[in-house]
Amino acid sequence: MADPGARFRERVAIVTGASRGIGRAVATQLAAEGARVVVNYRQAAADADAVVAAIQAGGGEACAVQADVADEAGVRGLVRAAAKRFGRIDVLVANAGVVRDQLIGAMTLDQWDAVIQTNLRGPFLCIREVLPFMMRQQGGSIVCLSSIAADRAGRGHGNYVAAKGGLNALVRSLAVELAPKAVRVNAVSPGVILTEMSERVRTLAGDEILGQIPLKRFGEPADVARAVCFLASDEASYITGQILHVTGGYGL
Amino acid sequence: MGPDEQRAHPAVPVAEVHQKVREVVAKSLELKLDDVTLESSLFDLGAESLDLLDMAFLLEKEYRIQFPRADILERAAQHFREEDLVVSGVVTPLGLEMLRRGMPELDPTKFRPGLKAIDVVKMISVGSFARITVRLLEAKAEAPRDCPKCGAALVESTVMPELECPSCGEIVPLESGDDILLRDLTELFKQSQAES
Repeated sequence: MADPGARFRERVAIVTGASRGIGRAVATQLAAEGARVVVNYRQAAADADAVVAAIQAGGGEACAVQADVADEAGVRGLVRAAAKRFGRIDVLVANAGVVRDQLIGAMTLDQWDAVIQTNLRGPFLCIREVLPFMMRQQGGSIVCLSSIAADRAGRGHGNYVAAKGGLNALVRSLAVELAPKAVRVNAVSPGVILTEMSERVRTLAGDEILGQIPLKRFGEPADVARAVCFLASDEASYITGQILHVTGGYGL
Repeated sequence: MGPDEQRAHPAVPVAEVHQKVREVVAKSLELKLDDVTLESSLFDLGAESLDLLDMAFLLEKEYRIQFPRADILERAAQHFREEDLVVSGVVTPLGLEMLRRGMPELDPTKFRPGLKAIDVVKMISVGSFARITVRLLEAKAEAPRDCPKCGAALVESTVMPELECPSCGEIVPLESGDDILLRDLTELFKQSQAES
């Protein structure tokens, strides 16, 4: 059972893209701190079920809900399922993201759209749908997963950096827009984290990047999850509109 | 016709709606209930656009309705050519007529030639919200209540402004407030065309 003094006791959190990687670590950490967690996934049903099972085995509460965050009806269904199951929504972690790397001159429209739709339109749709709940509850916390790629020039992922740069701008603007209703909006910007998504870049340029990370290691998903949980919690009640870098000092 | 005299579908508890809307406005703006009357201008009460959205969300939950998201001129502009309604920021004679007919709870003498579009928002009163709420409840009372898939009687969702089928699980969205009010405006427009 969750510690009765846990930060997220009685709170309900939706984590998008929670079947793997950083999303899974965030869902698990939130649950360990008392949150009832909606584990969203798009395709990896078995992985999402495993996350739910792990949370339940630890005495936590969670359910898996399939939805593509780029799909309006799907997001509505996700929020509907969360509200039906748990009755409220306190935390949204907009984590779901995809990569479709390609040099811009060779990038297809499908590659561009897939990344913009999931990584930028997805957070917009999720935020819009949870807002009625958060505003009626007179408060809530939204944490978006950005990326250090938004701040660093790099080749071969123009779609991804545009989406994440847009996401950072969205976070800052929404922080101001929603502050009067006590809804906080922040982002965590991870560096290179040991997930499937970063496997390609680590294979191609791992040693070179490692040499530029002052803390001399790649990040663990749990490193990011702890930062997300901090921003989502009341401990960050005076923090909004911030992009918190979890990079081991990479890019400073 | 003021909001208190609004004739509504018999299933719609108008007096209760008026009270509830005042409560919602007071809650959202952190005011005393006595300071909020149906005639109060929301602008004068200090409401900003986010507060209007907050009030809409609260009323949506209370009554399971889908509040409009666009203001009256935006709504009208979706259907009519915008230049017919507003020119250089000033409401046209046709636009004034639409407002006069579309917002009957407001003092008609306020819709004078030269009215700026931006000032229309300032005229929205607590009564405007009550009137919209009553209209949406009327539309809901008249909407079909059978599941389009299996024919079972639909029930209102406990979590969102939509209907659901207890038998087959089908979700049936409520007609949006924007669509309902746009339909009303279109009707008003036809009437005003016929009269002129």
